Amino acid sequence: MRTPAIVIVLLSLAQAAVGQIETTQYFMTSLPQVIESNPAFMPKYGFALGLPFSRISAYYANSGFNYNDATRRENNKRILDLDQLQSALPEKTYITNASQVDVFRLGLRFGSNFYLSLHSSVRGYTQSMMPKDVVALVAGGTAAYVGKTANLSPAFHGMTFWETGVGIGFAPFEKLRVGARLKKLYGAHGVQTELSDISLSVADNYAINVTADAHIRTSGVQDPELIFSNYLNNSGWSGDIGVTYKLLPKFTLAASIVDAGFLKWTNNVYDYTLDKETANFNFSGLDVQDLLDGNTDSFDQQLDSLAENFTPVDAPGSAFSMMLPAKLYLSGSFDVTKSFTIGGVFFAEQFMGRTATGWTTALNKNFGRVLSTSLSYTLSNRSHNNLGAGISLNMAPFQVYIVGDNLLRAPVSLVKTGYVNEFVNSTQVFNVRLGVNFVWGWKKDVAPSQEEDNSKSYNSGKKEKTKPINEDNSKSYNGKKSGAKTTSNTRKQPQARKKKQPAHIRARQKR
Amino acid sequence: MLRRLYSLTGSLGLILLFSCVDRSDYVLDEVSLNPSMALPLLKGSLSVSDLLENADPSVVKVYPDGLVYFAYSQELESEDIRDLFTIPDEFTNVSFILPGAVLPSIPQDIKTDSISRTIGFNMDPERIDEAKLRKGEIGYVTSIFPASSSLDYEIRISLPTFISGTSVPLNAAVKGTGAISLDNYTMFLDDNNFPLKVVLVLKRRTTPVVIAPGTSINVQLSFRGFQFSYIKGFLGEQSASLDPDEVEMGDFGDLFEGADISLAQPKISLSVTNENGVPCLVDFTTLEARKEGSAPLQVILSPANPVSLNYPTVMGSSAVTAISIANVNDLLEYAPTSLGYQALATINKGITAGDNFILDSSTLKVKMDVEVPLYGHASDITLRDTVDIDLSQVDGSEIAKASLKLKITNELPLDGLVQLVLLDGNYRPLGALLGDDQVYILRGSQVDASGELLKPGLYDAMIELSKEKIDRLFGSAHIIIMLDLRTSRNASGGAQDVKFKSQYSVEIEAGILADLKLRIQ
Repeated sequence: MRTPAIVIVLLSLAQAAVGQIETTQYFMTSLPQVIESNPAFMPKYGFALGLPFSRISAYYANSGFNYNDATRRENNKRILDLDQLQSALPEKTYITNASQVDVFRLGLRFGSNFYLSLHSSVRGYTQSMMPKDVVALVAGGTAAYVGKTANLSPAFHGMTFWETGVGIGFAPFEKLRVGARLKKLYGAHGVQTELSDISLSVADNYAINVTADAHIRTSGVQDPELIFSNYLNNSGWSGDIGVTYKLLPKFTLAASIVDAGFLKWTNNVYDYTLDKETANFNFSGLDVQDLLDGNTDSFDQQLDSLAENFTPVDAPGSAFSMMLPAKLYLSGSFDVTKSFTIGGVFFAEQFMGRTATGWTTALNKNFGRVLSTSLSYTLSNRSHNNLGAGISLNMAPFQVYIVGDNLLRAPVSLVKTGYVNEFVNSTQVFNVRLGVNFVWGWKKDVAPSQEEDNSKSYNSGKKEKTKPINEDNSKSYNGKKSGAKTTSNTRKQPQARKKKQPAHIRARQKR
Repeated sequence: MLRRLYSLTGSLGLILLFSCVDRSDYVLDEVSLNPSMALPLLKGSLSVSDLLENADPSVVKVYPDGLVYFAYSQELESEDIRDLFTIPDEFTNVSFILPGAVLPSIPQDIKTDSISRTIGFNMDPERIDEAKLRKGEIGYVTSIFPASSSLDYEIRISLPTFISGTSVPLNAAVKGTGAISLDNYTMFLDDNNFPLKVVLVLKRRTTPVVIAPGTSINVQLSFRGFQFSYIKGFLGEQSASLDPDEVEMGDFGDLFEGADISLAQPKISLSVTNENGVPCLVDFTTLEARKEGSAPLQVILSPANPVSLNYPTVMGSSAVTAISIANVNDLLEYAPTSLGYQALATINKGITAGDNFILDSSTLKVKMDVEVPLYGHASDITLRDTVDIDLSQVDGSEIAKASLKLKITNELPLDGLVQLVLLDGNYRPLGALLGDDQVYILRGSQVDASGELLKPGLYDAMIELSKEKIDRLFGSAHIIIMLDLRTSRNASGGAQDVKFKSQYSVEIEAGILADLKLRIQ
């Protein structure tokens, strides 16, 4: 009875916005990049090499609205309906964009349970926040704010940096696997909204008061020349840690924290500020005395002062630090068969004081070792229509892959209407990563904790029908055992298959 | 190789992506929004003193307690009394008769004979004791008969009561023809008379001179061209008629025209400033309020006409006589545009002796002072003004509904109905903007029994304007602003006297609440 309650809580949390988390890939162990979510994970391939552009990823998430929320069709016209948009928005809309390009990646498995990884990537991340009141004020006017204050405080954080890391994963105990990764960071551009307090108040007599108190730190924004050595001054560290635990023979729990770290910005640091002492404007109407005096310029003078008072002042600033968007993954996966897994992952991201959560349920199927697929459903960013998919063509030594959390509706839309507009217009979350890896040595799960379970999974009836997989599985299985035991284990498999059938099959046989 | 593969893949991906997108779906044809805007329009406090800034400060004034009053003052100056007096010219001849003889030589000048006499100015009824001269002279002509005589002589003139500006009595030696200046001399007279002494002096000679029998030396003196700075003495009983004149009251008379007004403490007064040091009685033979198209209104004075004026007892000073007007309310109700007057001034009326003086600059100034404190009650004060408006740049159809939020905190004891009448370009009425239940906007303050402010009047309401009226407003070209005002009523609704003070203000806050339907192409 506890499980449904936990699920409800997790699903509720998933309504909140989430940043750059791509979870369809989370269960795709065929990809060397799977360790990005949890350094304790063990990829299928014992050797992986990624050259520049072996991974290109782009991410967009809008926690507030999609195109259909903002527009409607009427009399064959596309109308931007701000009332409709306003009603769709949450109190704060977060728009996140992220991208990553791998420069180099190397994954090596040593022995049966030790995995070493090296990687170097260029990453970019921006997150902007827009309060609902901004749109409400434009669409609904000021009347709704009489006697109230509208929060117009936007926020923007962003960074581009170069990341180089080394990670290891190993199994200290039979059912436990742990991993860690240390990453050195060099920043190129950084923007951090240190303070943003912009408000508009409407008094009972309709007098309007606007005040702004803002402080934005930047690095590299005003740098006219892109000198690489300058960027080496912006440096930092981050780390990933992860753990997996085989709770039941077919049920594995995993937890990880990724991108826990910071970047210190020292190069070309400029601050942009608005001081509330000067950045304020009060308009109570035209002055009666001015009107009587025929001073018609007073309103223009007020507008001029408004523009002047609200012009940010930029000045060289002091060094500052930015935390990376740290992520937390909590997952559970159930091996229905040796090649078919059902998994669920709750994820959260912490960035600049904001915690965003989401939930993904995924089905993962390996069709032999040639094709690995994933289907997922993700709840995040107040978005419920995210059907994700992932596919990797494993033609060793080449592996081509594409994965996305909201990919699947695109072809559906295309087939249905001839265009992908239906998909685009209803999308709040979209991410895709694709690339080409050089891989060798497909291995089955090799962690000691999984060793017996692999054999159990292998015994399932469905798997027997696919010979290549059986062969592959046997190889993989052999791979888990080191040295001379490999052969004997392989030979014992048929016996084990007869002895240990899944419970539901045994129950069916009894009937 | 790999890079080419990437490029090819990327290009194909982009082409595929864009070929699958109907880009026309992302062209926005219209922006729709229906904001309800609450915006401030006006704010400010307008005090009476603010309004008075543009008023003529010589007309609108404030008492120390802040009570505003209208003041009008006009002064007319008369020199008619001073002009009664002039010092006439006087002449006298003196002759010295010499016996026939041979006069021996003499080593120095010798005074031989002198003649003294009293000269009097022919002035009546004045009896002058002293006169300071600004201008004047003594003309002289001396001659010897027979003219062939070679006797050398000179004439010495002595006027001991003619004192120069340096306090020196006049003594002069003359011969032939000439003039002695009396500028800045002071003549001390005895009832217009002064003493004169003329002396004959024979000049030094080294040879004897033969004087024929019948020889004489003649002197002609003329006192002439007098202009006095002042005269002192008894000036006698004399009258001067002051020229008829008019005191203009300008627009002041129109100020309350048409209104039903009762002023509590209006004051109109005449003051006469007398610089002539002589008792004077002024008889206003004409004193009346005038305006075009109406019969003049007699002004009744207090004290009653004729009025005895105060006079100064020290030269250079003046004395003021205040005369008030008994029928002030009748006068203000009459709303005159001018006051006309004519007067006869009589000095030393019935007086036979005294010490008077008059300066050549002495005047009689008649000044009218009007003070109308804004203290009283009034009704039916109607103000009208027509203003042009141009709302052609605004699309009124975008306004679905509008309300004017108005808050007026009024310290003035003035109630008012406000109406805006809309007119088209040809000044044809389109209708009133406000309904009958919306026009009572200006709420007068409450005052106590002495007219002082007790509590400001407050109007705080929304004035809703229907779509029909908004359309009418946007179709109009002119607006007549109509104000019907009256002073605050008492608790039972009756009239009561109120005061308008400079510190009283009207605080206005106006905003508009409008529902808009915007379709931006």
